[in-house]
Amino acid sequence: MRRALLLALLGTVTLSAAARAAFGPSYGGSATIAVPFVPQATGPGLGASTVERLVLGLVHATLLEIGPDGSLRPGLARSWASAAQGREWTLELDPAARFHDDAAVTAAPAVRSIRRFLAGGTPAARRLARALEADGVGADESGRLVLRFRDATGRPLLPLASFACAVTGARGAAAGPFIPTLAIPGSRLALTSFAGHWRGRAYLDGLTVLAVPDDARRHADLSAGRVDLALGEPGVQASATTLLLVLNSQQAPFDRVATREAVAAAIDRVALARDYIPGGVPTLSPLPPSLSGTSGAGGVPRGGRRLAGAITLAVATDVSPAISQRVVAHLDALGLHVTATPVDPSAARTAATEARLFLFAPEVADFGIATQEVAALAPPGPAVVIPLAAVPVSVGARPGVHGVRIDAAGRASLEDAWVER
Amino acid sequence: MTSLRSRLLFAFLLVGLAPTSLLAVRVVERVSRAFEDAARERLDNALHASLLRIDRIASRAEQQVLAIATLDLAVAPDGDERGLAEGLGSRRDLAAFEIVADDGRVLVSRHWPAGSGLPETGRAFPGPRPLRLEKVAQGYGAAESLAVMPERPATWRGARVIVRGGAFVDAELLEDLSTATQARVGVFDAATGQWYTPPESPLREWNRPALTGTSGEITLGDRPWRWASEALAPGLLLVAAVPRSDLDRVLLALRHDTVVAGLLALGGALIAALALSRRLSRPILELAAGARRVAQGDLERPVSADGPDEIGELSRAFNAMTDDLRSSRERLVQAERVTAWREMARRLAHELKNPIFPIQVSLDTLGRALDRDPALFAGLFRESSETIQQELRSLRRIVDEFSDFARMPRPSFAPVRLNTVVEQTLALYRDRSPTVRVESKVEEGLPPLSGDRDLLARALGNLVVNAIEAMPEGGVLRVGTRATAEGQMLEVADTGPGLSEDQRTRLFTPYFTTKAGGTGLGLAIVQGIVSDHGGRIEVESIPGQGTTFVLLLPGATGAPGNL
Repeated sequence: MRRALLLALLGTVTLSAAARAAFGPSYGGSATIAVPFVPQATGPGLGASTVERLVLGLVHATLLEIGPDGSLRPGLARSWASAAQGREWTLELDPAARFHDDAAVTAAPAVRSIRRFLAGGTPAARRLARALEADGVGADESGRLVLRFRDATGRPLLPLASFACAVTGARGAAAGPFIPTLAIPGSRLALTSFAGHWRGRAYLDGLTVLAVPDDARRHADLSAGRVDLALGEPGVQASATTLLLVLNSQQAPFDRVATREAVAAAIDRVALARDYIPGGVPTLSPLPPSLSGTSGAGGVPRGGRRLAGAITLAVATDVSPAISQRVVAHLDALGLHVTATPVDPSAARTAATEARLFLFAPEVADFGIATQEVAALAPPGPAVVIPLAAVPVSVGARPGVHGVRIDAAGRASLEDAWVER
Repeated sequence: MTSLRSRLLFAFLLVGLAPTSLLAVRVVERVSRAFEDAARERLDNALHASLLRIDRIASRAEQQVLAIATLDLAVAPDGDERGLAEGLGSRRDLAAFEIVADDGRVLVSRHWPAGSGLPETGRAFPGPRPLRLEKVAQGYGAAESLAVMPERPATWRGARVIVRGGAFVDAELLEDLSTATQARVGVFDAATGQWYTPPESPLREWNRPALTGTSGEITLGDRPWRWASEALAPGLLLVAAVPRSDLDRVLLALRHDTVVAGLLALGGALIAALALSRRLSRPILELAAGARRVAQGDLERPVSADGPDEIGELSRAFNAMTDDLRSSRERLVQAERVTAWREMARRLAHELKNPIFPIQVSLDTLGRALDRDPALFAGLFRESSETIQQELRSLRRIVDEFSDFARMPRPSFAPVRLNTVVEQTLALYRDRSPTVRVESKVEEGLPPLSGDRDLLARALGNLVVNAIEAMPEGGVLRVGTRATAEGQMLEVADTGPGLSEDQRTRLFTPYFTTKAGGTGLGLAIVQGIVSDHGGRIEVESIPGQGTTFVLLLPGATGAPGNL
């Protein structure tokens, strides 16, 4: 009798847990996501790393967004229309949009944000600046945002989806789904859901972004349930970044084409992707597969060419140390003495070292913009930018955590994440 | 440094300082050598212990590698090569573990998994010890670490491979060795100039080690170090170092203590020297004072003669001598007194007899004349009474002189300028003899001396009169004064006939005279006056040339011009 009752109770508990998941998302609760590092600032920016893009997506909102198919989706601007044969575009802002300080998102802060974006000089900003007329950003009498272009071009509004173009209020308030409440730079960022979000408040009441630099520790923390989510762990993923090795052709030993070619040929991309990058794919394209549509082994590595010299390799801290060590091992096998130095992901793109290793995700998921962005990474030349592998952006979740999404630009969105309670 | 006490003091200090200094130098030298030996031994022990530890690691690793090569690989599951390296290495406690293919590719590696499938980049050191330089995963790249990795050929998955495993001679091991041996232990790769040490090791500051030889000293940072080395392999040196400051600190403390001990010893020697020299010099000084008292005629106060030593013996002998002198002097005084009385009686009888005889003769003549011829008596009476009167005056003069000598007053001391006395006295006698030329030669500026003006004038007058009377045929009388070391000098010289040796020795004896009518009291009075002034008389006389009396009077009483 007792045993029957116990089994019945256990069954009820099990069924109720399953039932809760089956009933769909619910509001409330909080979650902690473990990430390799916590950005020093949360202001609008390029989002050079997966972590930065995650935080930007939590805090900020853009006028437009890019859908999984690469098409524009409404953001703070609920609709847009062109006139003057495609040279003038008018964006109507969502009247429900509010900043974190409860101020309405109007054309004025939007215009100011676009001008700030244009002054920032990101690849997307440069493209928009080239396309716009002088003083081509403004608002009409109806409070709509108006952009006037020199010529009619295809998809001219794409740059507005850049997080560098996130709209902020007069006092710097953002309009994303979460409000930063506590920031310990480099260590922890605590956020609470923004009840006034124009798409409705997030399911989670609170979210903590916690720095756990060690890959194994993140894995262990997620497995043990010490964190609810972990970046880089198997789970929801999108092949949105590319591992790039950029050689500085202005400095020895990579000022010689033969040396650069030897490096490009010596790295075994297949083994690197297979053994060191979960879900990774060897590639010869610097763009992620979602934009380039291609991936490949890149041929059989040719070793044995002995090089000499000592180089410093700047490694972005969002690159797994195991991946970096493998690249170092290849360079070492060539005869180069490598000193690997971890640097901030955004700094890795411009570090003045002989070589740089970082994960590249385009500012805006657009082939044209991304190609220009890659071109800006290094001076033109053969084998200066060496694509190694397509690296997926992945977020693992403990059981009972749902709703995590990652878009084509590698943005992990927790706007719709929820926890079973 | 002329006194006996100073010399004794110096001798004592020298005797105390020399051995103390020698002892201090010797002690410091011996302790330094002992510390040097101890440091050398410490370094040797550190090197020996470190080598022993490394060899033990190699020996143990060899057993584990043998076990993997012969046992473990045969049963190792296929697949998961990275897991295999980690598993085997962990199970056999081999921090460094790898399997290398025949073609030199690393098949699996525990310490550098990123190198799997790539040509091995490790470098083996020649020599009996299985030492290698291996890449080790560190951060985003790799570091090179020294490892003790014995190897064994084996067969794995049907292919011939090399199994290699061991431990790293890393910071942890070297720190452990440093702690165990109380020395800083590191390894230096001479080929690359690379140090392998704990992170905070001062050996890292040794940029270009001059590791020639097996030991030496070097300054790292601002501290001196003593080091020794032993070859782990050709070009690979195990280095141990200890700070010299430990030795320096002890030596400094030792020097300090030695200096303090030396100073204490010197102080003790100084006190002992002072006490001993005082004890030695005091009776000698007392003897000297006693001798001075004897020289001044004081024979009544003996020196203390308590000590049983030679100085005491000397003091007792001195006292005995003083006693003998005193007895002799008393006898002499007694004899002189008798002689003087006899002389005085003889002289008195002689002096009295001379006038008495004419008186008696005159009275006899008057008596006879009265009996024989009263008329004649009246004439004789007048004549005889004159004679008697004259002799009675002579008798009176004699009596007066004796009376004066007997009644010589004690001097009444007051500041007196000797030159003034000379001038005033010579003024009285300058015209006494027309044939005697009086010359005075006084030293100007003589300070006053303590004396009795009248008595000094009387003494000078007696000398002047004697000199004039000694030159009846004429001559030169020279009177002079001058300062001496003891006081002032009054000199009276004549060019008379001079004195014989006998006369000179008896010159100051009362009633001794060379003159027909003299009483012999003049020079005795002079001597009495000079003696009463604390001075003395010296006489120089050359027969036929003259006599010089020198009165030496004690020091001045004040600055010139006080009077």
